[in-house]
Amino acid sequence: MFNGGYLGKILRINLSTKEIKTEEIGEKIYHKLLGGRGLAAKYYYEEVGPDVKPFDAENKIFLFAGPLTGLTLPAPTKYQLSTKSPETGHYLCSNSSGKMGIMLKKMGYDGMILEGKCDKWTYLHILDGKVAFKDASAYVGKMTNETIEGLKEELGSKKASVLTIGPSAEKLVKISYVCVDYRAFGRGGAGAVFASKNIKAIVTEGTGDIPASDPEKLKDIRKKALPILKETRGNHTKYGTSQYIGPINELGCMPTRNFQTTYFEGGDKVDHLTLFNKYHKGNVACTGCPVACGTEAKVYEGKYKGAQARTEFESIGLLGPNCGVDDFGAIVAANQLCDEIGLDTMSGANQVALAMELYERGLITKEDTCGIEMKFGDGDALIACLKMIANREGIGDLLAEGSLGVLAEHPEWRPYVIHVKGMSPAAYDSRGFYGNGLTYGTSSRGACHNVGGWTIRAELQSGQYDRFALEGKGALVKEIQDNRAYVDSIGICTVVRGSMEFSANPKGDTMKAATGYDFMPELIEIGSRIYSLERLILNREGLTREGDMLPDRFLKEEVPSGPIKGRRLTEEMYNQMLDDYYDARGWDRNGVVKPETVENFNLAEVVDL
Amino acid sequence: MEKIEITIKYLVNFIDKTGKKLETVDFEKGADLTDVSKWLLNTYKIQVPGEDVMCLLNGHSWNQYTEGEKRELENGDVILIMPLIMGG
Repeated sequence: MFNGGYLGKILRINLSTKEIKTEEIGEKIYHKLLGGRGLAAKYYYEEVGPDVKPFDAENKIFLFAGPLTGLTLPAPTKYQLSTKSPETGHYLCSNSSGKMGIMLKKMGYDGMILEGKCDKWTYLHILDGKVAFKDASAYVGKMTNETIEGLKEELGSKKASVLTIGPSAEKLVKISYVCVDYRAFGRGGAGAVFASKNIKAIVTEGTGDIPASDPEKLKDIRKKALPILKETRGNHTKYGTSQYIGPINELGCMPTRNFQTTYFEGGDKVDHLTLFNKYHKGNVACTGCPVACGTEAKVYEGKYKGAQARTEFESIGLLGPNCGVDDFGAIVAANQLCDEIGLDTMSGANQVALAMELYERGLITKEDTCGIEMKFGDGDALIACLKMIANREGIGDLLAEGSLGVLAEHPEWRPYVIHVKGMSPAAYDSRGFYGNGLTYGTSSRGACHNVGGWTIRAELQSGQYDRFALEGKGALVKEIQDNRAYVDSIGICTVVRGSMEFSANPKGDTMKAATGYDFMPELIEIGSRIYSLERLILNREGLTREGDMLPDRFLKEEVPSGPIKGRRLTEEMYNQMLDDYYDARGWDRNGVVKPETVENFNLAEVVDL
Repeated sequence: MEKIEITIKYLVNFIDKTGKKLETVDFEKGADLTDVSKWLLNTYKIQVPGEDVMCLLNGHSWNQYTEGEKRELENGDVILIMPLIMGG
């Protein structure tokens, strides 16, 4: 029996009929799937069939908070989205910070489901569960920041949470993100799904209290966590995630010029010291977070003077080295453009990198690029190409279709289109960390380091796993994925989770103080259950072993320069890890979840299979 | 006594701590990783191996060398000293 953390209700909004429903969730479902990502997967499985296309009205958007979202803990801001991805054409799960998850719970809901489609541009204003459909025509074409500030002013509420999309999403650019209070559901193109439903924004305001089983214990847990975070996350506070630029480059794993090589010679021009010494404006913290790893960068001089953006490792790595750009001012300007116009910085940058390689190989010309000399290293070309994608101009119209759209039109470009399941990778090259290859291959949403499991620390620190070894990587990736799946389901940020003992060997104190039930020893098993549920979805959508394969560049090309010169992860090596992984998961060698695995996880008890 | 030369590279907060991105250091032939640990402790008060530090030898964890800290240094070895990293 829960007596806190959970509200037991979801808000279902039919955008076509404007019907609003409140539905209950049985306690057993929380026991088996926890919340957040687990519930997002369950409802997707039950309500979005394999034949539904991303922009069909039948596609739905599921938003779920976790039991810890909004409680008195460090960074209790996370909540999950699931939908069918325009970028991949398959299941997408995504997590974000911002205040919307907290507002949902303050309104008395654990989640919200959007279904159907509005007949004109609309924003939703949801005040304590009362839903108003409002005309959004004044905001169409507005940048994300203009919409957020405009709606807050119009509604007279500075405290409201605002979810919005940018102009690129309105043009159904398939790599458009969803902005929430200047944070992001970044990957997979969910922004375009909102646009397909004519939803420009959702403003949420909740004024209720979120119940907790033992509020005093939660305060005590927070108090104990703060000095731990100060001691262990000092680099995050000082430098944010930009601190990883140097190490990843030095280890020879930095995507460079569309993953053609893995060491960027201009690394020290785009690293944390450059940011900190020349561009640092201040730190930004999510609600309740003492770490404040958000780093606001500003360009103080030069041709990009005035540009300002919240930079982080993945965006810097892909807008910078992967496009060959070593001008940090240009990276900040490009980052700002993506944030405001509504593009995912990561997929956006990777599409520009692809265009630059195609241009340098003579496969596209100035006729395609609106006259732009689309060469690696040119910051102006980077920014121009991002605008072309967002506005669907020239080659940008094709790039806006994502990796799969490009390949559908030009299958002969396969060697240069770097993706898994349609999603382009994060800022790590798998030839430098073989476990990372398995991460990208088996992530539930494509080449993602978060959902797929971040193996790099284990591959560097552990005496058990060398980064170029194959043995044990299947079990390692599974363990990290399971760990991440439960963390994504409870509603706190991964940066702070260790301070509350949410690790690979979690303790149940925090969950018990929140809900009255400690979920031990089940947490890791729940993560594993969620991962197999997500795989059931992918299997149903036609993805099996073939869909888990890495791009040709990782499997067929040796790294030509830098610290790991000569390395590649061959198909044979990758398949060995993949077999081990499937065995560890209880999936067959074709990557299909075995019936006994479904049974062992008791999935039929909580999901309508 | 014959000398060998190794390179030590410092990353992130270890640049702050040492004021350097890299340096070359001479050790006597026969020295091993334990000697590097002692040198780092004496010179910069950097404790390796330690809870908040990753120590890599030629791109691999120290822990992965079967000889452990007794692995003998070789001319041209590159050591990386960096914080625990945890994903971007």
